[in-house]
Amino acid sequence: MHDFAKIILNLDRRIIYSIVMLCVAIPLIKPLGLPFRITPEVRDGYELVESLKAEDVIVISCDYGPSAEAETHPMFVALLHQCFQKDIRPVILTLIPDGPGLANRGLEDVLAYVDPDGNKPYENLVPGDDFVFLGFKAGGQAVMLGIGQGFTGTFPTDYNGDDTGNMQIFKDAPKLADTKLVFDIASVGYPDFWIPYGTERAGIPFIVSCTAVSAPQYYPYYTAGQATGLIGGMKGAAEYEKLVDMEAITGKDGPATKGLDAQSAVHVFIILAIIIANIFYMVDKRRPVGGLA
Amino acid sequence: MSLSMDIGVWIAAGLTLLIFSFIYKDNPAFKFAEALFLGVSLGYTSVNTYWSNIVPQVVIPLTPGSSFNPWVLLPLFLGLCIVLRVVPQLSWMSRMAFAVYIAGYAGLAIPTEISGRLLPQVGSTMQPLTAGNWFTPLVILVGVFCTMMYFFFSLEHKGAVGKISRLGVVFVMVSFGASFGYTVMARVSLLIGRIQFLFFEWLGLPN
Repeated sequence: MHDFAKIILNLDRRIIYSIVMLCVAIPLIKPLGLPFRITPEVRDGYELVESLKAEDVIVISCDYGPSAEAETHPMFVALLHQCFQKDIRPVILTLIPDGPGLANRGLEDVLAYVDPDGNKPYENLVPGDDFVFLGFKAGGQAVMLGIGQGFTGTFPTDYNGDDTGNMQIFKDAPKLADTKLVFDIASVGYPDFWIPYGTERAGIPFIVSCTAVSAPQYYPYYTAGQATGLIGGMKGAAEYEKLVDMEAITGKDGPATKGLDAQSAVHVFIILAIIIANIFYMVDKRRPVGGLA
Repeated sequence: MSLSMDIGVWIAAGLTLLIFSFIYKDNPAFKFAEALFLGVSLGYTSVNTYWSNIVPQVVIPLTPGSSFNPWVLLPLFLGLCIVLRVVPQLSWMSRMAFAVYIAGYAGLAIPTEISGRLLPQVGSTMQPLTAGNWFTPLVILVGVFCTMMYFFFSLEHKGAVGKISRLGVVFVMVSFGASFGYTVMARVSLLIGRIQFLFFEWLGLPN
């Protein structure tokens, strides 16, 4: 028993990695369809967006890069579908330099989306009227304060270099306070700044969607009411996809929902590994002094 | 199953596998991919910052025409002063720019942080205890008090203070545990994202 405990406790890490890889790969190829429940913090965010009227303008800040794509990008895609289905007009921007590529790709993918009946429901949307992508601007808090005074002063041109001064969306909502909410999809710490420098000053609601690593640090904002919704990691994105009903819109589950089976499988393995390792650690500690006979 | 015909997807898949090779052990292929990633990130950020910030807010306003704005010269001068830190003989000039930056930022940040973060958070910590909602506010109040007591070093941590700070450690540990759980979830999510890319975009497995 003690020898077996020693083997388990000194297991080559590459065996552990291989099992983790299998736990990820098998559910992706053969989905298990494990159920998951919608948490109140995700539902609150979704319902706030749902409560908006057609033509309302919201700000989506895509503060994530490729390193956090798996956790954050599905959220952006689901949110864009929700906005365009309800004729809500998003002002999309990013405060990190590696953000524009993914945000632009997500926007283009959604605009070019073909529904299960073969229609392109968003092909008539007009940039500058129905949505706008402003691209990246350095400065973080300075940008938030700047758009509090006016979008066009801070972003004289959009991502494609078009003059923002002539855009209808900024005639209807010239500054942050004229928008209905800020939805920050972040892999960095900008939600910490959006609240005091952006939404609290403008008096508008805030929703944060973030990586799972940073989710615990935003719960105080949610409990204080400074963030109306909190969508944490791939799990939160999967819940949002379920609320938006991506399966009905696109004919298949969203990428976060598809990844959740694998997530659950790895979690089960990690929990079992912790329990087994602790049991064998106890067994090994009870080894007789002087070693085995 | 239909393999991707996109060269970009093949490059991305190859680089992903090179990075994953570190799981086996450190090797030159991993080093190559790591260095390439750093270089490309730096190049992308530099070019992006130039076209998104320098051109619309410095180059265009200083180009003669309808959008000419000479006031841009002032922040441009201060910005160049910061760059002069790398020239030892002129590094003193950077202090001027930093003084303006710090003064301006502090003036903006202090009232904003107090009204936008500190006061709402303190208010949220001290919610009234009512018959229908007493448990959560009480846990928050006790947790904040005990944790702060743990980090209060002007009193020796023994007796009642020691017991309170001990309870503070429990709250800190629960917080660390929650953070660690979320961190594991985040790292697994990133692995899932890469495997999804390899399986469905590169190898073209049925999705």
